[in-house]
Amino acid sequence: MSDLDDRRQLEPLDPGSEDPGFWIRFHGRVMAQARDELARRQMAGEWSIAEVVFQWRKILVPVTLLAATLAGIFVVGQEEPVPPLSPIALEEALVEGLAGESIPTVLGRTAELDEVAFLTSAGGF
Amino acid sequence: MREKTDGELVSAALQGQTQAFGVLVTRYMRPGYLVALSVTGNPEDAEDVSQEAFLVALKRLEDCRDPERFGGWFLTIVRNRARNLLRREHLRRGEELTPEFFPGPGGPAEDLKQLEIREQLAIGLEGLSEVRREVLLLHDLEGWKHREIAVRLGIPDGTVRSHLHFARKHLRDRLGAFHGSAPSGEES
Repeated sequence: MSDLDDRRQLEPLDPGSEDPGFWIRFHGRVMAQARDELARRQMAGEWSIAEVVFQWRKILVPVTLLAATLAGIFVVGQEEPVPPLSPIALEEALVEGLAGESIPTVLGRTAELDEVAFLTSAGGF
Repeated sequence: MREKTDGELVSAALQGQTQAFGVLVTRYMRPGYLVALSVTGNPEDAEDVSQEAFLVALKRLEDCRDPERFGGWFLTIVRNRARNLLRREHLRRGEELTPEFFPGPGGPAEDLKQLEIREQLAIGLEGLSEVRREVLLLHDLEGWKHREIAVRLGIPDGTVRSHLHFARKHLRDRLGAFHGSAPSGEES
């Protein structure tokens, strides 16, 4: 007996061999019964607004960080080098535009004066 | 166009895609039915069990650890449900746990000879072990290759070949006896 004969003798066990519409109906019944569960899964799969924002955040945060880093590198690269401030230049900058004498001058000249005289000369009153 | 793998279809079905689940049903409805028939021996029970098994599988789809092996996982659900049904039936009737094969409903034009062949086929299958019936039906009726059966039933390839060999021999002997040759019964 050949393989084909083996197959043929088992054919009566296939409900589709006697009834050609059997498997179509079977499929239809399963799909009809699965409809609710499939709909539930679809609903669960749809994103809420919060989830959409959250998903965007996952993309936006790294992109923003990267853009900020690149901008920082660009700005730093464009800046002219600033010469370091010497103590003298700093002192001059501090007293520039001030009326009267600077504190060091006051301190240097009136070391023996009392507090009232010091504050008066410094313009405190 | 390339056929989608079980893994791809399972992923889509997890999202509730009706079409993907429909393809899985088309792919496994006949094997599911045949495995259920191998256990229960009753065409009506096999139909009910395999139908229910699809719904159980859909509800538990997250439990399918390896979606590429959906077939094997699904057939296990079918087999377990069919065994439970058989157990319940036999407990109810107080009988031993062996399937009783029914020849199944014949077509309207079926003659007496055809009916007898179906009955002999049912008797022949009763004399086989459950796994041999599964291998025989999946190979000869569903057309699965040895390798496919081995993967989906979780048994070695050589064992599949051996089961198929003995199952065919047993059935030939049974049907041969019916046609007038000498029977030899199933070797174990």
